[in-house]
Amino acid sequence: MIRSAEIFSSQEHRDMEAIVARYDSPASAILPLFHYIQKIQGYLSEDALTFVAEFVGVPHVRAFEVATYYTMLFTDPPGRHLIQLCRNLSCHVNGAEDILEKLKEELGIQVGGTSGDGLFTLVEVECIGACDLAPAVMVDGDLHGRVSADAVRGILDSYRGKA
Amino acid sequence: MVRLTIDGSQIMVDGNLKVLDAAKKLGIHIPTFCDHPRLSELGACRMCLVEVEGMGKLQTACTLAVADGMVVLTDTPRVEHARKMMLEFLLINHPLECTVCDASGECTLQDFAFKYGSAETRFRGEKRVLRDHIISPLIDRNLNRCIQCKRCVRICDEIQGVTALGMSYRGAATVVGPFMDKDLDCEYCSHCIWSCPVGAITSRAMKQKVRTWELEKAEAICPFCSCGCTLLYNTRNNIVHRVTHAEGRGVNQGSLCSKGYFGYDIINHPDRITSPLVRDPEGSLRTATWDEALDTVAGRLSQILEESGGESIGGIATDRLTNEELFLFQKLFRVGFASNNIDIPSGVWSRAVLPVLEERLGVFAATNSMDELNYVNALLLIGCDITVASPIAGLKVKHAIQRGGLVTEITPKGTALSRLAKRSLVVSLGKELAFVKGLIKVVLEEGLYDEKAVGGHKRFSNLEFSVKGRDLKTIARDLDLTVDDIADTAREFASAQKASVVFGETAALQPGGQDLINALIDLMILTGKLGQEGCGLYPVITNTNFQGAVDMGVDPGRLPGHVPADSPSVRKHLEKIWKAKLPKAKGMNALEMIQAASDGSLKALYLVGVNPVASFPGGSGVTEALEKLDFLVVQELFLTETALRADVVLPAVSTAEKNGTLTSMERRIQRTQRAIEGVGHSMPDWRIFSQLGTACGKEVMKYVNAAEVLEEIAEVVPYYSGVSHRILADNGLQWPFSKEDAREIYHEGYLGTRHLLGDGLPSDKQRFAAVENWETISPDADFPMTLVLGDLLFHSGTFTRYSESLNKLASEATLFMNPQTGIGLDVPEGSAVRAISAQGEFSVRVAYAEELAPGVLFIPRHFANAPAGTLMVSTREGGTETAVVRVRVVKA
Repeated sequence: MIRSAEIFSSQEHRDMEAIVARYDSPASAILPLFHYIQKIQGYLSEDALTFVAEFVGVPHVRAFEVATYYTMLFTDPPGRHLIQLCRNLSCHVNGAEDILEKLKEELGIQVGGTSGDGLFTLVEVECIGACDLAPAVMVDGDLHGRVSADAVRGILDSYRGKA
Repeated sequence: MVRLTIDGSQIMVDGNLKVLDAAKKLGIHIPTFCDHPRLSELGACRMCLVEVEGMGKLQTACTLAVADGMVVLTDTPRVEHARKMMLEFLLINHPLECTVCDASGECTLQDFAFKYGSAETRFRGEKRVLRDHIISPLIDRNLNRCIQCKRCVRICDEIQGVTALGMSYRGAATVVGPFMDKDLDCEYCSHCIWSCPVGAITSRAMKQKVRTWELEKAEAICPFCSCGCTLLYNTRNNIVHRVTHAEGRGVNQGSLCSKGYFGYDIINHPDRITSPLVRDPEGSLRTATWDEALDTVAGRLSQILEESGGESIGGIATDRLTNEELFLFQKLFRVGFASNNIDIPSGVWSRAVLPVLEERLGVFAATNSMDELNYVNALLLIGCDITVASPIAGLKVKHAIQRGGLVTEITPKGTALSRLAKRSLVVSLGKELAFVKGLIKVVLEEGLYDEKAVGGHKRFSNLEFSVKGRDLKTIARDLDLTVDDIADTAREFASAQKASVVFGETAALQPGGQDLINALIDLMILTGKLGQEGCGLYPVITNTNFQGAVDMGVDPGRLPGHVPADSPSVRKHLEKIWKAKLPKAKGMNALEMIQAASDGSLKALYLVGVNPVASFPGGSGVTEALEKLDFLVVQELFLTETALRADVVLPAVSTAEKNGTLTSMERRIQRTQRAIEGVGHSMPDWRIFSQLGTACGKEVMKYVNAAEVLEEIAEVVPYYSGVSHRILADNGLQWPFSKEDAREIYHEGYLGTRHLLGDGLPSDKQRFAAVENWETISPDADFPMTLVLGDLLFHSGTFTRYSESLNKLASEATLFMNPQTGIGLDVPEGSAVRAISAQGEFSVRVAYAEELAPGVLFIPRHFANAPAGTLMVSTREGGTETAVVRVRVVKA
């Protein structure tokens, strides 16, 4: 049993109640709740997953299934900046593989990992709706189009200075 | 019905079937991985692809509904090509480690690859290697072997209702596992192991110990509780190496629980006693021959009989024995020692609970069948953690919930059903009666009673009067419930077509439990819920063959068939057959025997599979009493605390090593058959009783086998008249039955009587008890808390302490209490406390459990570190166990 008060403020709890109220079945609110919690806490902790499962009335492991299915949801604390590399067709034929290798090399991590300095988390995604700019990379909310392997370091550096 | 053609053969089938089922009916085998007869369809593995005329793409036979005129081909080159490709895909990642895999020989992937595939694959590159870790002490997961058929995930959810496993992550990285990839936290029911078609989920208990194809399988009845489940002992060289599920067989249809599946390691435990032991003049136990041991027992008992009479000899036998053995046990005492001093450890049920049912309903057992719980529309579960007490009956309740059955749980302690039930009401011990009277009040006030059922009842007004004293609001407030909790439960129960009541030991064996049972019976009569399919009153008595023991007359006051021991006609009948004078006077019950040993009037005690030192009320007083005896015989599998004090120890066998019959909680008489020969020089209990009786000069105790004992049971035990191995052949037989029943009636696989009271309540029983009390447990300032002595899901009595596997799941007692209670007592989690009752005390560590009602404590009664008997207070009825004890708790 996870009590809401242990991990959320009372305002946050009311927000989540409002989210659940939007749906006929509480279980339908599971993804919006995950997005909400990830926005305020950065990721979905074990406590958060347990809370949501009990809040919407599903077994704990069901919440875990949903949370791990989507690449945009994190069950571990991510780095400060999220790098989403598109691996769909247009990006792939335009050299996404090279960019991936370069990112892994620069950051010293595998896909799904977080760099040692805690700054970057690298994930692969299926299409970010920027086929015209392939190969494309999204860092936090920013879209970087027609990226080349040589441009990778410059992009990373531009975030290294930021908070 | 629709007509379709499969591989050129026409068949008419039910239109709801899938092509896969229709093919099965024609004897056409379509390979599958994800399909399972007890699970919903999924269509994930793509092995069952078939060609259907008029459909372009291949179709999955497991999900495709049959249709009139459909033409299906299951064996074309195109189909075979598809199957080969599916196997090729699976073998990209599945490691070919059959050499060390425990599933080898029973692996569906291995079989299909052998049938369709080749050892080569066209795919190059590295195999997927997933990081894995040990997730439990008994269940092994190997992610790389997993073919993602989702059977384990579905069976855990759909059948067991636990949902401990999920499919996490996605695509090629999908893994089966528990929440947060943590350790498995579940009921250990073994369904996931059963359902896995490959070696991805296996039993750690038999890991790389034996090859599956070397094992022989023998069907038997599970010895651990009164559900009467069918299981398969897998043996080799006279050793039980594992238990497997008997698919589609028995009341459990293959399902098992943690005890049934993992508890077999008791059978070949290295500490088993393998030969008789006799205490030598120096005082130590030494090995002896059977002749010497039996002569010693026969000689000493005969001597004591001659000197002090039958009243000075007593016997207590475990209700795990077979009917044949229990029958011979009471016969040995009555015929051989002229003594009615015989009992079982659970005798409190047959003296305090079943007599209430007998008096009110004229029955001496649960009224209905376990299977009927599957279909109830409304169910009251009172003081019964059914998942723990009776796991397979618990499964049936879970299924009723899935089917929309409205289950209301009234419990001092949250249970596995709390999350699933319509409502789970935490009610303090002793206040359940007020809840039930509240239900009666609602039924009366809203006119929800059954006119026909109550029409002739003389004490209807008494019933009304008995619930007048309090209004519903007061009742609800006192129980910390809402008025609707009570009113809705009453309405649901009264209006349901199939409504049943299940009560367990915390309800029945609390002080004043009889009032509660009487109120429950009143409710059932009032709402007309007796004598019909799905309308039953079930006392959940967990002891394996409790019903058989009572039926066979292992009772100080009752002969076989529940007949009072002083009944002249029955005694006369038995005396003629047994060629002996039977004792008239009522004998002593188990507790009275211990008391009599203590004051010296009982000289000899014969204990069979019971361990009073560890489990009887009285603590050290029990040990002192046993030491005062002139002669103590213990018949056991292990040198228990009690056996160590015996003059003679006789090595007996487990259920796996003997033939006989057992009677389950639903009056079902079933055969259990020997899987291995007795370990060492041990002998089945029936043979020991027989030889001992013969050694005492009683020719009527001579039998060649257990079947011969059953013949005598069929002759002399009411309700068992005409029983034989032939009519017990398949799923057994539920008493009562007529000889015609036994021969002819075969109703949906059920032989005998599915539910009692089919002709309605006898006219002299049509009245209400109209209980006047509102509470069953009165406050006691010295001992303000109520302690529930209960079972854990993973253990059964003190017997399963010998299972290494089950000990891995739980091996020590802690005292559970609500955090609020703990804070009030200033005892943090993990701290040591003393639990003190009027009888005695012990020290134990505290664990917090939110699911307990404040002021209610729970302790498992299995373990040596907290011997429950120390606290238990003897009851008026002379039970050896009560489930509820008043205590106070102080810091140690």
